[in-house]
This record gives sequence, C-alpha cells and structure tokens, in this order.
Amino acid sequence: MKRVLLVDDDPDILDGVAEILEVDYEVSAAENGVEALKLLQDGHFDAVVLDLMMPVLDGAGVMAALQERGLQVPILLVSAGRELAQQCERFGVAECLAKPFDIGELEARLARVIEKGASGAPPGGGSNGSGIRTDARDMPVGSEGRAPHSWPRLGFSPGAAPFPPWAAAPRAGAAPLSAGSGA
Amino acid sequence: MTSDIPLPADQYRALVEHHPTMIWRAGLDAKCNYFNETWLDFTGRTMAQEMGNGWAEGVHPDDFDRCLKIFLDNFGRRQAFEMEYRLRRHDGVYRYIFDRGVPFWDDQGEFAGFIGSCVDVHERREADRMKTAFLSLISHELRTPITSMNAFLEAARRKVARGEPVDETLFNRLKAQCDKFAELVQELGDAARLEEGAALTLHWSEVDLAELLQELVARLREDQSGRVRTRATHTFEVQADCGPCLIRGDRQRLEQVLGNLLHNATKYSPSGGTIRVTLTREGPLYRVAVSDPGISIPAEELPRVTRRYFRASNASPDHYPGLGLGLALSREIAEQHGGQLLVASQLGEGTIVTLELPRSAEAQP
Repeated sequence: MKRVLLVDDDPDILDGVAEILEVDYEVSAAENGVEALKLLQDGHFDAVVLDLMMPVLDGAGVMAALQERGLQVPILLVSAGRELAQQCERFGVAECLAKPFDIGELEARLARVIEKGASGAPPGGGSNGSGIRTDARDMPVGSEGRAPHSWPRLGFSPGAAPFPPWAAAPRAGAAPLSAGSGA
Repeated sequence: MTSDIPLPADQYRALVEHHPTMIWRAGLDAKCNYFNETWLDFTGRTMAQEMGNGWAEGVHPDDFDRCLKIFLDNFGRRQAFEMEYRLRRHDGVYRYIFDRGVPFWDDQGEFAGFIGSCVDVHERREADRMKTAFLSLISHELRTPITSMNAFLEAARRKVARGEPVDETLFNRLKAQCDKFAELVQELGDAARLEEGAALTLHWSEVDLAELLQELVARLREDQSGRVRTRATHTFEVQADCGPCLIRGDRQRLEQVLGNLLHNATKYSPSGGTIRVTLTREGPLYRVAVSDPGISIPAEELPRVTRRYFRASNASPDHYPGLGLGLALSREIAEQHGGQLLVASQLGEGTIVTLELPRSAEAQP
C-alpha cells in the first residue's frame, strides 16, 4: 500500500480526509511543518498532501527545507489562501488544489502525483516550474494578486536632459501662472 | 446660473494658490513650470526645487517609470490622463495621490502644455488595501470548515455505499463544522452591525456562568478526544469554586465570548499545553480568567488587541488565519453586559484574558 503524509493544522480536515484516503493508502498525519519534516526525514512517503497556511512552520517553509536538505517527495499542495498558484509555481509543485476541494478530485490528483513520482518525473520540492497543473480558480499569480510591473524602464532620471525626446523649444518657459495661461 | 463678470487675474491666482488640491503646470517641453502653494506645502520643497523635472525626485521609485510613461504618452497625444502614485510628503512619508492632468491651449488656440490637480488619496487606498486583505481572510475562513464538512460527508456517504455502519462521531464532527461555519457568519454579521454604529442585540435572562463555563470546557474536551490524528493536545484545568455564579446576561452571547477566549487559547498555543480557566467572585464582579502558554502578544500591541480586525504582528495570517474579530466582539459583548475584557501577555510566558461581569442584583448580598 502506498504511503501518504497529510499535513494540515486543522484537525477536522486531517481526520476527515484521512478517513477517506485510508481505504486506499497508508496515511500518516502531521499538524504543522516541523512535524511533517520529522516524519519525512524518518520515513518514506509516496506523496505529501501539504497545506500552505499553518502555525510553527508553514507549507512554503516545508518545501524550502526539503529543497535545502535535498529531499525529494511528490507534493500535492492545498490551500484556502490566495497565494496557492504563486507558491506552486515558486516551488515547481506539479499539482495544487484550492480548498474547499472535491474529494474525488483530491484522490485523482493524489494518484497522479504518486504516479509521476514513481515514474521519476520532477516531484514537488524541485525547481522545475513547467507543467504545473493548478486548480487555483480565482487565485492570481503575483504578489498579493497584483499584476507584476511590466512597464519598460525608460532610462529617465530626474533632471536629465533631453526630456521628453520629442520636446520642441519651450514656449511657455517658466512663467508664473496667470489668468491668461489657459488654466 | 452663471455670471458674465470675468474673474480678475488676482482672484484666479488666489483661488489656485490656496485651493486644497495640489496644482501643477507643464509647458510644451513637458517640464513643470508652476506648482501652487498647496503642492509646495505638501512636498516641503521650494518652487525652484520642483521646477522642470525636480518634482520627479519625490515620486516613489517603484511608481516612477509607470507614472512617467503615462505622463509622456498622454502628453504626446495631448490627451487628459489620470494616475495614482506615491509622492514624498514634507515629513518623508510617501502618500498615494490621485493626479489628473489635462492639456490646455493659449489664446491663439495653440497647444500650450498640461495643467494638473492632485489630491491625497492615501487613506482611501489604505482602506481599499485593508478591505481586500479582509475579503481574502473571510474567503480563507469560510473555505476551511467547508473542506472538512465535505470530507466528513463524503466519508459517511462512502461508508453507507459500502454497507458499513457510520459512526455517530462522524456526524457529530460534521455538525461541529456546521456550527463553526454559522459562528463565522454570526461574527461577520455582528461586525457589520458594529461598523454601522449599532449595538449588538442581546436577549436578557439569568445565566449561571459556572455552568456555562463547565459546559463549554466539556465540549472542548470532547472535541479534542474525538480527534484521531492530532498530537498537540491541550489540557483544560478549570477552577470554579463559587457555586452558581448568576449574572443577568445573554446566554448565547456569553457563550460566544467564553468560546472565543477558549478557542484563542488553544489556537495560539499550537504546541499544546495547559489552558487554565478560573472563575472567581470579587465584590460585585465575577471574573473569568483564561490563561494559555501560547505565542503571546507583543507588549506594545496590547492596547490595540481588542480593536476590530487587529492582528498581532507575531501571528501572521499565513500561520494563524483569522478575521481579527473575536476579541473585539468579546469586548463589545462584555461592555454591553456592563463588564470589561482585560488582556495581559508576556512574550514567552503566554496570555491571560480576563472577562469581568457584574453579578446579578439578586445574587449580590
């Protein structure tokens, strides 16, 4: 039987999901990242269902620690937060799923993660950002949901001349404002 | 109705100079050649410093390229533009300002440059940012119990499908999640009511605090014992030796307060430990103190801890999700009962939250 580690700080999610997965998998549970790392260090798991937002050590901290320690384990990242897609991309996690998830979908993705891990495809915790499959719904990629700055740098620095490039010879000069200036 | 009498130039000048909006003007070379007093007061710089491209020194570096592009693109097209950016105030603080620039023409009808007006919209931006962050927290808080409800329901459904008996615990836990969801909705409704300046609705009756407290703690112990895969456990030590502790109050609201204090005590003690609850009678008051061995609250933040939406700096939403409403609503409810909520905390030691409530007139000697 394949071994799965469930990591979530919500005891109800741990018990509810484990109740279902235990029919097909040998399930272990951890309530935070520190516990998860200890279990991952001590034993073999075919996949980890990892929550992002947790006390003590969060999911991102777990993935960073795994990378640092050179431990590779297939990860299915889950979260109710909006940074799911962003973290998925950051850590090259192949599968992520937004809470609340459909249990059948969770099972399908978990099976896929395990299959990929067994076939030697890049697991979570690696640095490969391609082929990411997400169900982040309305969760945008980008810090706090904002689109990344895409304006080209114009090479302008305050006080530098000429500015702007098309400028004709000044007509108004530095004249003080008057009622006849068109204001 | 409009007047045909033209406004003399000096009145125009006075109007522009003292208008509460910041006003600038740029000539055909797109360089600024005028700023009103309001602008100069805001930036704390002289006209000479701001002239030409000098004003751009005050634009936040992260906003600079974007602003410049909007300005130059629209200047080239002689089209009005609107933009928001951070501008350094006289005290060094960057404030978001809204800037609207429009082209203007001289007496011969020739394009003569741009004139713009700006207002400080920092508070509005900050409110928008907080609203967005709060909506995100609400979304998270509602998604979590739905996830566990889904799981418990599906587990029960599959057991039935396989012809296996369904343990009552599964339904009890499903019900607990439904209650949790309802509490969240209640908190949001309460917060909305308080935001409107209205008081919470209370239904008065005689309540035995000791009985209520024992009932809540028993429920928490039961919840905890029902958890199969949780290692971090909390021990609840209750000391309530005052017999029946009668107060005049709203039982459901008091349950909300005590439930919140107990929930916080466990939530912010993620490694488990002992939660001590004492109920004492002191003069005309009953005092319920809940102490936890948790992550504590930084001393400098204690005065703000019962404000709505407050989150302690050592409890980031990434690690401790929540709306920042529980303690604020608890304080409100305590005060509506004629009592108060006191919070004491020491880093590394834990937190003690004390609820003080006046005893029922009948119970007082």
